[in-house]
Order: sequence, then C-alpha cells, then structure tokens
Amino acid sequence: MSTRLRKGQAPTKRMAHIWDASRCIACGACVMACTSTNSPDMMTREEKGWKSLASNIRRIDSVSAHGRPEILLVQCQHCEVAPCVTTCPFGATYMDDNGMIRLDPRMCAGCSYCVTSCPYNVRWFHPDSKLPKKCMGGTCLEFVDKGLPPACVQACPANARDFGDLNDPNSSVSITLRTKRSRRLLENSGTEPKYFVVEGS
Amino acid sequence: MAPADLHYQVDIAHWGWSIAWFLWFIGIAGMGSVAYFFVRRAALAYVIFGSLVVGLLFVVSHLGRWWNLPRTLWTMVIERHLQLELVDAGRHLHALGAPHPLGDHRGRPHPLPPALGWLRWTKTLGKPAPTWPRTPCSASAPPCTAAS
Repeated sequence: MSTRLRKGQAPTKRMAHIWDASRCIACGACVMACTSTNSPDMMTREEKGWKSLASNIRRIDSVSAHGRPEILLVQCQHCEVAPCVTTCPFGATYMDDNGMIRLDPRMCAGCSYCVTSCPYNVRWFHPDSKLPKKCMGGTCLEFVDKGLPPACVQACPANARDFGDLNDPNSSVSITLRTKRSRRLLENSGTEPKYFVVEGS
Repeated sequence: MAPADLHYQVDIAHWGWSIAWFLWFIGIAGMGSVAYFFVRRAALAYVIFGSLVVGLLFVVSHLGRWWNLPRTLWTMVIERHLQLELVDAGRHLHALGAPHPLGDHRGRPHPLPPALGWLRWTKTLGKPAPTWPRTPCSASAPPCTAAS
C-alpha cells in the first residue's frame, strides 16, 4: 500500500508509463480497457468537455508537418513537478511513494483547479461524483499495489505499452528507454513528466 | 464570448461566469477592508460584510463537491495536509512591507500600531525588517518617543 509523500520527501520508486508509437496499431483497446476497468458506468456516456469517451487516456488525431496522419495517446504523466499537486488548495492531489500522482476523494471539494492547471489536459470530471478523474483509476491502483500492470498495459495486443520503475535499472521500462529513442511531451513546461513516447529503435 | 474562449479547459472544468462575480465581490471586500483601516464608518463595515458573504456564496457555488467542504477542511487539519504555509504567508507579508516596524530598528524598538500588533509573530522568521520611510517626530505622530 502506498503512502503520501510529505514536502521534501523523495519517492522510493519512480513508476513510469511507456507508449511505443512505433508498435501501436491504433486499435483503441487501451482506451476502452481504461474506461471499462476504472469507470464502467461511463462506457455509454460522453465526457462533455472532450466530447468523447470519458477515459483516462485521450487519443489525439492530428497531421504531421509533412502532411502524414498521426495519432498520440496522452494520459496523466505523473509529473515529478506536478502542477496539479501545487494548485490543489486542499491537498487532495498528492504524490505517493511510488512517484505517482493520486487523488484523495475525502479531501476534494471539486474546485477543478487541477483540471485547468494540467498542461496535458488529461483530467476529466465525473458527472456524478464530480471527482477529477485521471490515470490511474482506482482499479488500476489496486492492480499496481498487487504488483500487476495497469489495465491498458494488460489489454494492449501489440505490446506497445509498458509500466515500471525508472529507479530500477533492470526494469523493462529502463531497458526500453536505454535501447530505444524516446521523447517526453511538453518538456519545456518544466513538469518533468514520467510518460515516454518511444519513437523507434 | 464563451468561457472556453479564454481557457480551453473551462468546459472540462465546468467553470462558469459565476467565478467572475466572486472576484468582483471579494475585491470589494478586500479593498473595502483596506479603506476601513483609514475610514472607520459603519456603512463601510456593512458593505464589507455583505460583499464577503455574497462572494463566499459564489465561490462555494462553483465547487463541484461543495457538500464535501466540511469534511475536506476537517481532514486537512487532522492529517496536517494544509497547503497554506505560515512561512510563505510571512514572506508575503514581508514583501508587502507590512511588518516593517517589528524588531530593532536602529537599535530601538519601533512600536506597532495597535491594529498591526498581531504581526509581531513574523519576527520569528529571522528575516531582516525591510526599510520604511519614517516620518519626523511631531506631536501628531504617536510612535515617536522622547529618544527619537
């Protein structure tokens, strides 16, 4: 069971997500698995702000500078300098000792400062509980506490997703990041994200 | 103009224009409080109080989980997860020059006006008191002592 970090404390682990864009087949299984696992009541409802499925993973379709169609999967980056943690007036959003950003529902008053302060726009409001949802959801956190990978990693048929500890040099994510070319999103924002987009070998 | 024209996450945050009314009323209360320091009038006190109440209602109304506010505040205090840090508050006060007279100024204590006496706690922060233009002694300036 993970615990809340106090100010000045460093996490013992630095759990990170990897999305391998060179392997992804854009099937959407991770997006669906996320919603069906963490928010099954939202499977048939729309997130009104995004006007799409309410999932902790957002699929962004765009066009590259060369005119090629591109997709990008964005989710909570579990930033080491997380704006949502510092802007939460009640301390409901916090970093745990695994280096993951979590939400304590007992302390959330629904001010939505965390939603607007996230530069990645990956938080959404549950229309019933009014809680700002994000990766990881409650069920995925239970998986991680038991040593299992989150739902998106389990569901991916192309093995394009991975999750592990950056502090462990022998973890699969550390090996992937050593051997393949990767990038982080919005590095100039200073948030030190722990979500890596692998672009190839 | 739609709120989302100002910030693209406004729709997701479910914010509305009521937050602007909160800022309006809380601004009246804040500026009125400063004015009240100089002008002690009952009418001004009523305006400040009314603006505070209305502003508070607006800010609570824009909370998605306003019913959870008592539990939130209780948990914050019990589990000591307060985001407000007194040290930071003290730094802000120093930046404003509010606690200027505390400590030894030119080797002798500079008495605080009675209304600002509570600011003496900031002396414990160990910061040098910012300089402050001092008025020459006169009969109408009570802080002046015979030694000055």
